[in-house]
Amino acid sequence: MPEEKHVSRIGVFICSCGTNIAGFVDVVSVTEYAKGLPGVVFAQNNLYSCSESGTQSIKDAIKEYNLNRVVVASCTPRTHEPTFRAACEEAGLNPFLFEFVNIREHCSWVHMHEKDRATEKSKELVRMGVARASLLEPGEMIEVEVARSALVIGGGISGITAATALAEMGINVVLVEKEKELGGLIRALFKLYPVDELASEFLKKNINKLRKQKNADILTSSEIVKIKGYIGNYSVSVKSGNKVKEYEFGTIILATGAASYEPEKTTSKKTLFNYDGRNVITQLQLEKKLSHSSEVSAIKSIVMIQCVGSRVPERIYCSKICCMTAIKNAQIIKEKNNDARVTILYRDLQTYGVEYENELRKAKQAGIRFIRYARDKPPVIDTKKKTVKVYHELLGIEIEQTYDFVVLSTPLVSQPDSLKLSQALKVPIDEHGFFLEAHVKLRPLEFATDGIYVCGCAHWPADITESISQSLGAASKAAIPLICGKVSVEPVVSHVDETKCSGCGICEENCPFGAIKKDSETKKAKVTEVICKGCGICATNCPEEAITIQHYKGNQFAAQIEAAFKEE
Amino acid sequence: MSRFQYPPNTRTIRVLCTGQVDATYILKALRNGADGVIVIGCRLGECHYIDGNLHARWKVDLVRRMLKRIDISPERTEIKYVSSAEGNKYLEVVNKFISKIKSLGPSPVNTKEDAERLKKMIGILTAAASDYRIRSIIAKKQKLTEIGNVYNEKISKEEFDRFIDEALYEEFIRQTIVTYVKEKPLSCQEIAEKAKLSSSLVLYHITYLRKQNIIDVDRIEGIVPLYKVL
Repeated sequence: MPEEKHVSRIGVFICSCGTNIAGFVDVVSVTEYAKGLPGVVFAQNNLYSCSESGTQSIKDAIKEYNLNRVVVASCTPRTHEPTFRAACEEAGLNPFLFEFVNIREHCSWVHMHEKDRATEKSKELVRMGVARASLLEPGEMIEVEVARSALVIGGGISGITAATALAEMGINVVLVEKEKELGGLIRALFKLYPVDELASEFLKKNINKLRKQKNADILTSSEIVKIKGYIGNYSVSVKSGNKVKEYEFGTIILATGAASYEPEKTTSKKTLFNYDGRNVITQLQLEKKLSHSSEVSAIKSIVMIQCVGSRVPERIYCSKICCMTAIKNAQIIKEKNNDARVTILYRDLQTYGVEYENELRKAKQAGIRFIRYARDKPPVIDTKKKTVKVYHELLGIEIEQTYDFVVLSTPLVSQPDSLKLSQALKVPIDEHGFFLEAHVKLRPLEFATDGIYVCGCAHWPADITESISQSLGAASKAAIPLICGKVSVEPVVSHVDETKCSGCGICEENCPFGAIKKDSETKKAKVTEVICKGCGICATNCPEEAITIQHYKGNQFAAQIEAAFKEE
Repeated sequence: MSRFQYPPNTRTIRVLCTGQVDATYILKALRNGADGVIVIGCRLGECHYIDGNLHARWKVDLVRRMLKRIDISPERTEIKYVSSAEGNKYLEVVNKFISKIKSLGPSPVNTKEDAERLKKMIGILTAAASDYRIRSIIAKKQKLTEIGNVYNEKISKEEFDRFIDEALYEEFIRQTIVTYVKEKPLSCQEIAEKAKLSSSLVLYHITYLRKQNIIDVDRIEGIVPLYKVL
């Protein structure tokens, strides 16, 4: 933005804020002082600047004194920056030519017993604000049109729930699933905890609800081939069979789920607990058996081992769902055949909340045995004798048991293509391949990159309840820009002086948002303003000092610093 | 801030993110008479702009290294991490800093005798902090020490520290030479005396600066060349 050579006509408004400021700072003296500052043509003390009369007096002064900069010295911008900016705009002054000086939270409220020094500090803060104000430049909100459709990647329960929610809001949604059928991991399950519902029935209900939506386009046996763009403007190529179709989306939801870990079956070296897929199986393989009633009744003795391949150095996390899955399946077996000996070998039990704790109690009452083992003394399986030996932590003795089946509760792991997807979408994954959210507490369903959201097991092992909650949340978030029709951001963004840019690419390397990139044609850094957050990383790192942040420029800081330490 | 009281010794400059703090700003504040400069940002791992406070940390570290070189206590600047919800922690941080600076005494820039020379020294540091070499090294810190190159090679933090210290050492000498000959053309010997460095060391860097077309010979007096800024 070209720097204007203008003569500042600055108006300064010192707020008393009732007694909040005036009680501890001599506001009259500060107002008099402000009148003498360079560029100031008008200074006034208001009782409450944010009130109707306060803002009116600002508007009047702008018109009467032909002000081209306004400084309000009052509270924190977090309260009334929009109020004062709006007042300026109403009076015909660009809202970014307004400067906010905090003499309340930064002065009167924290120096309540030293009026002289607090007054002196207020004067200096105002002096700094005036110096900055004369260097402020006008700005316009940056607006970007949003393509009014959403993409959901993944057709498991998370993807189905998100797509249904979006469609119900009247938004056009396309769901892309790489398998032939919708349903994800739930397709491999028999019954669901804690509701004891048949997985197939549950899935059918949810899939039908989605299929009824007129706004939803379901693409199975389809894969994302290419993704380009930014919030509001994603160009996506989807391959179905041997046809590739191009789409435009406003927002994207990642619901690619997770995979169930299957230990290696090599016979040459020792496998995890002698896993062979025949008598030593995974919980997922057990689910398949459980749907055949005769197979279940035939089980005389079954031993389940928890934390197989999880909570170990290679995979330190807890997969959340395995304890409840084991308890659910153990109960199913016990119900079919009460004489069956069902033992669960665990390290710790994850059965949080009222319902899950209830299930644990019921399981114990049904006669399912729970035996605690230590990580450094894992159960030993003899596949020839078909016995399991384990050191019972609480009894302090080693016990041995025969089995028909050993069931290994293995964790959920990230999908094998999560790295490729993360690179295509420019979103981060953690060391385990799960997608990393913007902030674990404050922004759990989004990424630092705007316009992409995540839910379900793609983010972290989650049970169905959690997956559904997250999907509904992600759908809500994804809908916001689509319903607004546009995204607008404050023009506090980076600006590149191409005459200074040497094309080193350091800015692109360091930007956490992917907002600045080396243009392939000009070979200079180029800012995508709608994504830029104005954090300053590119500007402070640029070796050629070619980048400035609008509204937070180096010369503005320099003016403030000089004004702070000026000798008078 | 829950009205916790602290002494009115501070002047606040608002930034959206500590990532906006350039090393040259800290140096400018010190040059203009600040006894201390404290940068306060979000807690590590909680930056609202993801990496801003990390980059700020490296800038403050750079300035501390630079201050050591000119015998100003590096403790006059620091970076602290406070969550916006931790009013009492903020108070603690500010109070501690004010006491620390009080015990260090006023900045040598504010005491009459050394003032001009030290301001010039800070100017030299500022020129180094604005220069391509130092800026690009600091900008690449994360790539070099944490992310690694395409072969997954990284350098250790200690190696990086040695690397930046060496670069600072050289750039300080170079910017000193440039600053002095900017005022008036000087010979290698004269520069060496003013900067209290050996002539051979100064000559080595003059040669480099000539190759970079930053300085060159102005004229020769007898057999002694005088150098000027181009």
